[in-house]
Amino acid sequence: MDKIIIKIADDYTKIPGVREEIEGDFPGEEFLEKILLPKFKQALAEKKQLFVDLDDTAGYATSFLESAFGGLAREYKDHKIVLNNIDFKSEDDPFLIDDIKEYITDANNK
Amino acid sequence: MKFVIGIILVLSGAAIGMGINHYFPSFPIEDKINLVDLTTLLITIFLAIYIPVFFEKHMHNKRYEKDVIIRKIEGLQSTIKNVNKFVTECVQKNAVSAANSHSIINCFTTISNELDTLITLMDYCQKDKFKVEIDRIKSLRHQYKTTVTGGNFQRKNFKYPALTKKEEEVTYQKIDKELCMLIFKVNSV
Repeated sequence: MDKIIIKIADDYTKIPGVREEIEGDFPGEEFLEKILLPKFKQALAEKKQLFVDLDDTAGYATSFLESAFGGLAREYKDHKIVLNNIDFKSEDDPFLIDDIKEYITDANNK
Repeated sequence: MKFVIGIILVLSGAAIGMGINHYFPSFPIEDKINLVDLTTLLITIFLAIYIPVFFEKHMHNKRYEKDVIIRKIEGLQSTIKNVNKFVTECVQKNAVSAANSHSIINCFTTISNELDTLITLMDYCQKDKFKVEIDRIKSLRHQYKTTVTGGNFQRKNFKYPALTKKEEEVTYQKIDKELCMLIFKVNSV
């Protein structure tokens, strides 16, 4: 399956920040609106998989991840659409992908 | 080398026996061998070889593996304790500095890597023996990270609410207890 690739460190920031734009720099909400959601829509339209490379940043707080990836699941109101069309790479943090998948799965339960 | 030493010891024993027989003829030596004595001799020889060569080597290897795993568990405990210290410091100062928040995030990356190494070592040595404990620790790690770096973490003027600190402390103690129990269980295998 062809892929559309996002590398957060190159395409957005090496220092991911907070949850919402008003709270500080490089928030998850902005990443969702400007990069993640448009690329995800493009991937669905072109029947490709979205591949998110999480490495080479200073690390991620739950607030950023939940806002970005949980937010993506809330956009579609179904976590399965997101989980079936997205893949990750995280060599820096071996449990980051598990964390993100939990935020996606739990997004619509809140 | 061990084989040569063994042969030398057997030959020395035979020489001493013959020497005693020659120089002290008052010691009678029985020429006949009965089945019970032969079995005892063979079992003694078997144990004399088996215990030092195989059993002790096996025990030594196991001990070494356990020590490495226990050191890794203690390292993980120490990193988690650092997070607990950072959070306590932030609560005492009633503020979370940028340096504190980056240190906390870095600690969680380290925790993930240390836990991953621990799982790899345990898989190598003990297969699925500790799967239940590891699954519980993985779940607590996720819960702990969500508590500490969730909510409005990294927001300007962010402070840990009292309830979040309490939740953090409870989860920290649970992980620590779980890791202590894991050390005991690894040690007793």
